[in-house]
Amino acid sequence: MSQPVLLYPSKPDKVYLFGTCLVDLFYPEAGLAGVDLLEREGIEVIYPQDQTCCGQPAYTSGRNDEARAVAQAQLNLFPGDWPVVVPSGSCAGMMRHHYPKLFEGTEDAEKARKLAARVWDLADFLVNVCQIKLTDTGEPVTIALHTSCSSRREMRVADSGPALLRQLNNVTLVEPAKVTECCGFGGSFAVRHADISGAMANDKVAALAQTGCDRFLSTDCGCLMNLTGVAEKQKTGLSGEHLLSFLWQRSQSNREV
Amino acid sequence: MTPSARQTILSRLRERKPLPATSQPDFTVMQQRRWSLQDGIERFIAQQAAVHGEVHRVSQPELSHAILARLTQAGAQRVLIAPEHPVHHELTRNAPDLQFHGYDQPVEAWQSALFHQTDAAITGCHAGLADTGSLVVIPSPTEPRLMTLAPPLHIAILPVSRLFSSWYQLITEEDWTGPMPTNTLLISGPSKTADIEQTLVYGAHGPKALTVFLVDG
Amino acid sequence: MSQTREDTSQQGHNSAINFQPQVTSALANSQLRGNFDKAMTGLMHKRSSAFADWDLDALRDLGQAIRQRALRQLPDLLEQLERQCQANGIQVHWARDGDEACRVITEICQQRQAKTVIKGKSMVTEEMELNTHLEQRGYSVLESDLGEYIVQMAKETPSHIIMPAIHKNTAEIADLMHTMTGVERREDAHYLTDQARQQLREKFMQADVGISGVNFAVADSGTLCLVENEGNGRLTTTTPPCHIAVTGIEKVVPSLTDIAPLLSLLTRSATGQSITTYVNMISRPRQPGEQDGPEAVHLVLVDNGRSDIYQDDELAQTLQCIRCGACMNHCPVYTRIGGHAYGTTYPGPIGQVLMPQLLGLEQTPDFASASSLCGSCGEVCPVRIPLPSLLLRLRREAVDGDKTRPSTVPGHGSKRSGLESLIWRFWRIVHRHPLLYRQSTRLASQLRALSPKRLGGWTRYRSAPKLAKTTLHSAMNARSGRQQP
Repeated sequence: MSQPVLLYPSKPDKVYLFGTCLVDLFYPEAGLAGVDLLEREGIEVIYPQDQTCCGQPAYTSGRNDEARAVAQAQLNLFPGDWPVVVPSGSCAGMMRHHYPKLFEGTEDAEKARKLAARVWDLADFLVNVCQIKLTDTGEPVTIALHTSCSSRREMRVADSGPALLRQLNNVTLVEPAKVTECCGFGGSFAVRHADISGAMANDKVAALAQTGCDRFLSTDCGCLMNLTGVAEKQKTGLSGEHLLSFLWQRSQSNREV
Repeated sequence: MTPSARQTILSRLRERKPLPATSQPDFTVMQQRRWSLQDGIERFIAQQAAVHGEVHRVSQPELSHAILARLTQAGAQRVLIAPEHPVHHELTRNAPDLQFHGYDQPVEAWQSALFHQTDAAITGCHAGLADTGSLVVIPSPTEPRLMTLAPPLHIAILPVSRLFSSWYQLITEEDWTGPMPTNTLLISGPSKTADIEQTLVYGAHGPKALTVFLVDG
Repeated sequence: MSQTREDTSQQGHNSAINFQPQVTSALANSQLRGNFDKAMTGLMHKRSSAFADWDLDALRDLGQAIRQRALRQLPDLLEQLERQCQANGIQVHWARDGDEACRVITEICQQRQAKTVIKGKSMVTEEMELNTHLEQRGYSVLESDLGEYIVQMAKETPSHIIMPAIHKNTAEIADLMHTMTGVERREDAHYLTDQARQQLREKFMQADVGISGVNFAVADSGTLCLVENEGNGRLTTTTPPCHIAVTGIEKVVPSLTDIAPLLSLLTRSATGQSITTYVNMISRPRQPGEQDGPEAVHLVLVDNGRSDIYQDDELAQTLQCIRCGACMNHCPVYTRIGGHAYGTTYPGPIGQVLMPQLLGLEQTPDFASASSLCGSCGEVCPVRIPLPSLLLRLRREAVDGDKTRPSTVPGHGSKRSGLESLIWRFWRIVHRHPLLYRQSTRLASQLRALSPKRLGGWTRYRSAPKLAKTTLHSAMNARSGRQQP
């Protein structure tokens, strides 16, 4: 059946941040930028120190038992009623759309369903719940955006990245060819089917380079790691960063720095 | 006795409890595909044009002349038309040079002539469909199945009064449930293929051209 | 790289599909990749414009509901179809598997003392390797769909379920037709198509039996619907004195009103056409007084694994498929490796879901994993088959990965390797124990200079990922007063 329309909550005074393991290890600045942006909106951010991973790597490898064990360890970390925001489309998608299925028929089913309903993609949350207003403080720059497949097709928040970037006056947003096509990451796919994944990633980097952008952004750390890895290996000179890091850097007024 | 394939398959399918109930089909989206007569005519013409079909609007008195003009343009000499067709008499009277034949014997008796020595066929249609620019053709003993397929030019005569919005509208309004004729066809444009590197080529195995005379009144 | 018919005869026997080497050679073939990229890009655009004036979500909901209702009533509908066809004078046969279907068809050919068979496009006959079976018994078998005709001349198999010769360009086809049929070598699709038309017209007139597939079978009228552009399907089902229609048992729907929306979905999803040139509805053999059409019409209902798929609520959704090919047209993996790399009758996402169920997971060890789960296939499927979820299900089946849900697909557990299981057990321990997780991630980032620079297939195309100086956990811990009490 077609997906129901998302009903956004009103702006809360607190949120939980689920940072995700990739942000934790590789892109902590993206998580911190998310916190900074939320705090500037007057929202207190709670970061439960006991969080680890949403369980997605095991889940997409067919290891539901392992995925459930790890996911279950996350279920009790968000006891309050506040939204849980996630700086990655695929982890948000895992929690929002797959937790109910993963826990179906177990004693945690109800808990998983309730948590799932509170999970939001952080960028989407900034646009549609916070209704954030950004002021650009940076030099003119041309940017291409790669929206992850999870953000686009699972979370259905592909509009949020462009909506945020369009608020920045000095940012020219350019669209790569085949913008909706996958970058080839796909978790274990990138290792198990390295050649197919590599061919997809090469094509995506070529399409990004073709735009003539100064830099590219992504909403998902998996895609980012994939694309920056290819760009670097090929010495294209093209660099990428997380959307949230970019937004925070661009929109700080001098006083706040 | 070993069970038949039929028994094995059916009992395997019945082994399980029925699949879970899902939502009932809601046909609203099909019912919404409706056009007024004028818009329907325009859409029919545009949709036929999109598939390389040609539509001419003519009045009843103009019909036979229009058909003859088309036949002349195509250089057609040997033309199939059911002698019972209302336009047959006028055509034979106005074009004594052309050879008009009925498809009045089993195909086995004249297959080669049908495939190689027939330049055009003129048939009626059961209906036209605006949505997709289709003709609904029900072959009959006087207008058999290969008549709309073997000759390189197919000329179809469609009264405006037989134009429906869509196939869905036609089959629901005419209640096409239960037994059907031997063969029923929806025909949209001349035959075509894009099997060679996506290059669109008309006249793959069937007609290379389709002309529809949409007859007013 | 091309898949010859001999290569695929491994299907249904005891050797696994050799996916990886086929992928490697496909990726190295820039001509092939160019052919597919161009074709698939065009098809994606055509599809989306063809649905521009539709409420596509509502239409897909309807398509899904129609297919699910039909499957729910499947055994009853098959009996009704049989009754109605028989009342119309169509002879109905049932076949448990491909071999049995081949035998049924051979017997009909024998009874008619047939020598030559002409075929319209039919994927289910590819599934059962009917051509090989008939040729081995001395029948001359000719494919009449232009794409299939080309593929047959090249002694290959289709690389796409709708456009069988999509892997070849005009130059390759010109060479082939020149060599095989002696026509002038001209790189001109119009010329080549016209030559094929002339060659095949003679064959249609000589053929003793015409064999076709079926797009939809209508139970309440006993009608077989065939959808095509070329007219070869109409010739196949009209010219020879005997027509044998072959279909999988899942293609039956209750009535003609169900066909209208499915047809709207099928042709737009497949090739971006609002309708094909011909929709050919056949309900009976030639009647007294009629001048053409076959004197005998047979319908062969083929199971070949479908009733097994039917047993599982989730996997039964596979049977909703109407064979439009949109999932492959939109698949970034299919677009890059082409249909032959899969080595099975059905390639692309639907093939990756269907073939492991038909052949067993041990025969198709790479199928479920060869997807980035990007969701494009599920997004375009006209009958809303949740292809990414079904791929996940098969991944789980391959490793027996869920104690709460029993695995049922043939060959389940065939990828349950000891080492991988050990890695996952370790992963689970680390990620279930927050303290252990924090200590090991902090340690990893402190020792990041030592992290490996080569990581198997990953670093074949990319530089190794770099750990950050500090973890988010540590950084958030440092922001005083913000942690959870």
